[in-house]
Amino acid sequence: MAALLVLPLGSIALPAPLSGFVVVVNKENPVASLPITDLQRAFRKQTRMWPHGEAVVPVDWDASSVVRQEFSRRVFGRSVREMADFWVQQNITQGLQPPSTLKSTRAILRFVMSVAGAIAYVPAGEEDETVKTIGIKGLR
Amino acid sequence: MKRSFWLAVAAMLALSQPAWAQQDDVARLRAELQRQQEVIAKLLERLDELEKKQALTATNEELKQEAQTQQEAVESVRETLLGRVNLNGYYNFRFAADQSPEPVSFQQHHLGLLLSKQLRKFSFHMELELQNVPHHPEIHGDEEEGEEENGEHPEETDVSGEGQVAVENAWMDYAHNRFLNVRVGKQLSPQYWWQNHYPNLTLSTDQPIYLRELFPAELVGVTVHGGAARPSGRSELALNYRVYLSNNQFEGNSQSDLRDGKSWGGRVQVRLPTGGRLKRFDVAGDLYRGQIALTTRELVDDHVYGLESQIEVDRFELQAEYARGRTLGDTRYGYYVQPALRLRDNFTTFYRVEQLDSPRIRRAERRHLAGLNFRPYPQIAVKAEYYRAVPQERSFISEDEARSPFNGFAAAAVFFF
Repeated sequence: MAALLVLPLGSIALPAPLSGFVVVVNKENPVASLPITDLQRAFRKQTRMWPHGEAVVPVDWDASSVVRQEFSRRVFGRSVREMADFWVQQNITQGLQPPSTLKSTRAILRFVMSVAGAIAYVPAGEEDETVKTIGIKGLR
Repeated sequence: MKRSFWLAVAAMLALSQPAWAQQDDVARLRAELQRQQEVIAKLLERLDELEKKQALTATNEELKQEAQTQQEAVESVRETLLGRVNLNGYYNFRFAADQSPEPVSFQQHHLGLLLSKQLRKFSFHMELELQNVPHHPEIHGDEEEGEEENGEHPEETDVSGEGQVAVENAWMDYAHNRFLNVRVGKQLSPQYWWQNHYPNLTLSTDQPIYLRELFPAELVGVTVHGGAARPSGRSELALNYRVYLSNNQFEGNSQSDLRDGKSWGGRVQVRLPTGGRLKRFDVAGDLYRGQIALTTRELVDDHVYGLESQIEVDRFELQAEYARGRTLGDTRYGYYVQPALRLRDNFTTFYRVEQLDSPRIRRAERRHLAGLNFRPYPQIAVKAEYYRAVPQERSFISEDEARSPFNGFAAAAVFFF
């Protein structure tokens, strides 16, 4: 998944920083955009329901993925490890489990397509017509 | 004739090649043959691939069936997630040694089991805590003191070593919306440290000394909570509240209150916008009005208020709480200030200064504490700390009770599962 940047020497290949991600929801979801704080709350499971009544079902990437690292840094301002600490705290004090994880764009798109309240993110350009892309206000 | 024969022999010799030249040809032919064989092998491989692809080419109907199967699999996962009861827990083993009268001890401190379940707007959470300690002043100190004053002999009633099983949390929460939620049952008090007092969430092994003398640790009753927020760049300005009505306190256990008069309290927390520079900037105020049974079953008024803050900037974190209470005309107070530095993702060092000043239990003490917290994984913590306790001179402490400063060491290993 990680794009490779091949240096002119040709012998060294480094993972390139991801160019971005897009947030996707089910096509039936009427929401067109979210403030970044609402996106944070959705992925922290602090918002349980969409305004139209569906349960919010966030789906995350495997912790080792580049897109997860970028999402964690840009959306929460924290590392994946710091978020893991956060979920241990939430688990003990609130009984909340972290969002379930998947390992590929295809699997995530398929899940979002099938679950009405799902919200997820995929590398920019890998989204397709089976899901709906929404804008995030305040995301830099 | 003879001349013609020799001319023919000469011509044959001229046209024929030497033996070494023939060997070169053979080698060339062999190489060419090998190359051709490799090409043929590649062509055969390609042919196999094409044949397999041809076999895999699905009809539109087959693709629809596959999509349906996958969708059912997703639904199955979803139903499993919705129907699942989460089981977690933690284990805490610790060691404590200091120059006070308390003995050096290994403590089988906590084994907690957590059960939780979410069902749309409803959630349930409970914690069953098994404590088995040789002698634990946090649990038995008050009881022994009370028993002594009642003329009983603590040696005869000491349950040290027997441990105890307790339901520390058991609540049900209904989340109506962001602004209004209701929680009923046995809950921890809403102050920061009480909410996060679990051994794998705190940096230190020991809790702040003032903690059990100000706000009650728990409440059995009803809490209404919620909040409102306004986005401000990447962060938000948020106002969260908690209001509760609960039983009064009986020696740290509010479950046995059968009287009409109940205690009540509230908390307001402001989450300030951080502008992307801070990770967190929270300020909160707490209030508690209730009654407490100190050494007898007779209840007396107990009023407590407190202030607290948590700030995170990059790898630096500051936690501070202050509380002041009044019972039977005596004022008690306590605080802690704890800066911490995250040296690496899994390694944090911290310092804490804390004080308790309580005529109620005739104790006035300031502590300085410095420690390390190592988390190889988010679920595992190994921590160690060194502290110095300095008793304070107060009018409510007689010379007989006065103690000298002493040093101590505590360490713990914690596993969350």
